[in-house]
Amino acid sequence: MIAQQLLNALGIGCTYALIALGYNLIFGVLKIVNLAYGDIFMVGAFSGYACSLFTTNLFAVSVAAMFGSACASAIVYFIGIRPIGHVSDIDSHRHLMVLASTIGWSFVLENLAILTCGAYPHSFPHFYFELRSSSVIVNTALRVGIEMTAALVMMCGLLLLLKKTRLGLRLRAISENPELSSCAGIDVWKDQTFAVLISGVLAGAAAVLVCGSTGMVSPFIGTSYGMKGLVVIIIAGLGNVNGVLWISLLLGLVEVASVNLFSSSYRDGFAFAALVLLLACKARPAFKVDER
Amino acid sequence: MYYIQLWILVAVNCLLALASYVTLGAGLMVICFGAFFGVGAVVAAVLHSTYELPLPVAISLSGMLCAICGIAMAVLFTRLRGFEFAIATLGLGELVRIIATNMPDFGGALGFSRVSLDPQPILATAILCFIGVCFWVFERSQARRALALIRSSEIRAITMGIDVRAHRWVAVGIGALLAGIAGGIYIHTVGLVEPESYGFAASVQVLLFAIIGGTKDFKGPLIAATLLTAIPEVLRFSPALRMVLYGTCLVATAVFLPDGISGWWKSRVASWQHAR
Repeated sequence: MIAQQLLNALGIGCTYALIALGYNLIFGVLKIVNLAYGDIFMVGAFSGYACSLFTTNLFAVSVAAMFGSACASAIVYFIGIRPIGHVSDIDSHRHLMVLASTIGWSFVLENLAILTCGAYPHSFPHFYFELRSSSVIVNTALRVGIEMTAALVMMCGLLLLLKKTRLGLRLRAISENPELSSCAGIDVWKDQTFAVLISGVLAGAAAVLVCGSTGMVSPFIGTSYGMKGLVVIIIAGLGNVNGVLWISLLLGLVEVASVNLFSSSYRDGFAFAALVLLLACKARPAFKVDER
Repeated sequence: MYYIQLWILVAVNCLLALASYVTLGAGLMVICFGAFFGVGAVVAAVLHSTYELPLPVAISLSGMLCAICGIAMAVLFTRLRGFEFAIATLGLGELVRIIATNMPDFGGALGFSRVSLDPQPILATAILCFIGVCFWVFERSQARRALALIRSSEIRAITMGIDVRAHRWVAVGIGALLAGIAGGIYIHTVGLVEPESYGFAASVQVLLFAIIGGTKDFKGPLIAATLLTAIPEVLRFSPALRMVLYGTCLVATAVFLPDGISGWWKSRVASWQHAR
């Protein structure tokens, strides 16, 4: 029983980590909170769902999901974020405007999905079905194993990309100081576009894994998972890729523990209470005070 | 009757817009005005219906309770800045929503509706005018300049001898007071406050009034609140399409008026003066 619950916590934590990784990339490179990210994830899930109506090939479904969410991510970036211009100052009004525009995009994407697909859950193909054995705990372990591997592979891939490639070097430079990096000859707009596309691909991969394990997709998954991703990256800290996994696992543990000890209706409540407590106890501001 | 209700809704949203304007003016993004709004509504309804206090007294008492809660929240999050502060308040707001959804005393998932309907357009207008005059005075006050300095650079504000903490606490307290008053007016007009109006979507809506309006002048948020209340009413012909169009309006405003309505107006006026 306890082993089963621990496995559940691990699985939930991994799904949050999957979503938070791409979120964190955008946050780190563009210095904005893309509140439409949850809905980009949802668009990926629906593209995968649309593809799964024609073929049951897992690879094809994943490619469709990644393509769908990368397109959505690019559209949000080119029509909602880029025209507003560079926003390096976190308290400037332009920065708030980017927030408003991504909120607008999240309304548009969610309600377009409701208009085209209906406001009810659809069944997403259960990819772990072939793995089924008779024992429940083995099944859970297999599912969690797949999620864990995927989360680790994606995290290591992202870390390798950021630490070992030229593109990663440029992205880290932009994240540090966009003006100086453009002085150093880095095409900031182009590399930001790459970061946006990569985060879209990550959202698509996360969508296949999350919806494949829950077995359903609805227009409303964007908001709930997007919010959890936001909670994770805020606690883990800006651009902190390693921290994402630990914080996600912790969040999964808190949620499973609260469901078991109290009631399932307070599940999200405990996640938010943990967020508030952790932030209130924080000794130093993680965002430095503006020193100009 | 429909237009009276719509007018009171506009007044309520204007109060919420001002709440978010004060806090954004101090560089604080509060994403839990929905929670203050909901709590203010329920407290005012209980005071008016159960304890039979006159409506203005009930509304001001509930507003003050919200102000105290707001200051307590600001004290709790004194150390947080920027997005961390925003997300911490978001977490607190969602916490209140979840508790309200699961508490039968708050009406549970159906919302709180044990209230006698008492729409008072004159009271709403009077409150809005009074608050508007207060803001007109505030715009020209030392406190406003202190808040603007805190927003642009906290260290400079400290060296100027401004008590940054106290200013931040009071700004959040005033915001919560306005949100609580808005809630009290709202529930006596509509007769119901749902758990959704405590949560993220509602709080973001409040934030949008001030963002779209602009954070440099208090008239911008008032115009934005009026427009953003009117647009969904005009688009009432299709529920889902309405939200798509509403979202498109937001994106278009952000892209074409990146400094908000008041910022756009100021640059217009400046270019006219330059032409002459």
